[in-house]
Amino acid sequence: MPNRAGFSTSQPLEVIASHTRDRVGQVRPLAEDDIPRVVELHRRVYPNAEKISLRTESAYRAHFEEIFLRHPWCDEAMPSLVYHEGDGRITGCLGVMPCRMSWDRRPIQVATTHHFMVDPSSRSTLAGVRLLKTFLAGPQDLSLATEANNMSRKVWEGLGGKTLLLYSIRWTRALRPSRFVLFRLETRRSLAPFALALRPLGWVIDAALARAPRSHFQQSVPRVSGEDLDGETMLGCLHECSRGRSLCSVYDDGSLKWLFDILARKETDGTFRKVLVRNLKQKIIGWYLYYLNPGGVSEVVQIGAKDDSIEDVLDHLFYHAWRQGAIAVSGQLDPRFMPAFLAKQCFLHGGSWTLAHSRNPDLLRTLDRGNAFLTRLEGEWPLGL
Amino acid sequence: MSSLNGLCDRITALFSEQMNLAVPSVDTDLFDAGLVDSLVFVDLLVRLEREFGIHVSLDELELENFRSIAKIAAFAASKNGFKNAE
Repeated sequence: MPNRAGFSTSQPLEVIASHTRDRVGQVRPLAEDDIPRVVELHRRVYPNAEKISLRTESAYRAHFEEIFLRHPWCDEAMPSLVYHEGDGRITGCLGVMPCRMSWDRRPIQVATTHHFMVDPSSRSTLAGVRLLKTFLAGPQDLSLATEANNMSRKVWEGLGGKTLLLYSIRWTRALRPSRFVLFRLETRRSLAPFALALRPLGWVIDAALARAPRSHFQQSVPRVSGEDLDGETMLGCLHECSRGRSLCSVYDDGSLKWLFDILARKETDGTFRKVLVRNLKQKIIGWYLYYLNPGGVSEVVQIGAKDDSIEDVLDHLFYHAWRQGAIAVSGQLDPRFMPAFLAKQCFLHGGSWTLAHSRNPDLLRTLDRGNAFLTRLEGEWPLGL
Repeated sequence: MSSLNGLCDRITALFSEQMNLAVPSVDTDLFDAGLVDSLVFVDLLVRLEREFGIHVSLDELELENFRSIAKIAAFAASKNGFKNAE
């Protein structure tokens, strides 16, 4: 009986299984009745995930059903995958999110991985290699992985993929620098008591820095204005933005709305905000999507801007977040805007890796040049718990 | 046959000296024995290319060819570009 995504739960697709079948287990498309076992696998691999996010079992399953099977880009030729053992246990999973992108004004098919996980007790089955090999052999023009850890990166590169170093750089801008430093110290058990004790002093120092005329952390009302960004306007902005970029995503009303809904439901990072930025003449100069997190680090999902307006857009973002209590703002670097981020006192650092694989070397060279509009919105980040 | 035995010896040495893995025999099932997981596997691919000049593309990657040292040796010997210089 085919499930909602169109895959039979009893007969694996021969075209996928033939590369990876062995006497122990096999790779096949994920089916609807796999979801409970995928949830169990996620709990085994990430035992802390449930504590910080979705509270109920049904919400956990509903979220996984949505991102694995009910998203707008479902495609039978690029299904999410599971690795199951001979006894029926699912010990590996690789989510696949197909999407359309435009490369030098030509449409291409892209597939991004998410929730790539293997049960630690089953790693000798090479489930990870089998899943990734099946995925990379798919019909997509470009395969992407974002938020990859070192282990995934090694396996990905071992199978012929590459690391996009420019898109693996993160930026952070401290808005309340003393409290940001203390915030980081509080994560170290041995230093946490001192950091907590110094919090009042941190407040005082940051208040002084925000007012000091020559301080890098002085906050003043930006010269540009912001308003809530709706989906239709954002599609127009993306279309404008795509003109100067060699590679960017192609969305429609439905797919963008779905993404916004998913982002709005993520509770762990703060309140999801979408802001359109206009200049003094009320002309649109950019936009940003981020999670406002008062008292914490606000994570940015996407920033878009004209080249000569990026610094104004950043000023607006930083002021917007600072005014509502954020101690820092952080995001994935857009290489094209690196000078602007550095000019605005952002520090650059590592985090997770962005990986790519394609049979077309020209496509990979495009990504190496750093002119692709590749942001967290296109990757795995929105789909996490 | 003797060249294949020699190749098995070189691959066994690669496992023990470069990868710190002691493989009991050339017919040991590397996967079932838990000696090779995904990370070790891709490391093996890199070392095989470095040592023997064999590049395995994604399309020709069949895990069965790497199940034992004997199978790896047979696969390596069949590859174009294989360097068998001692």
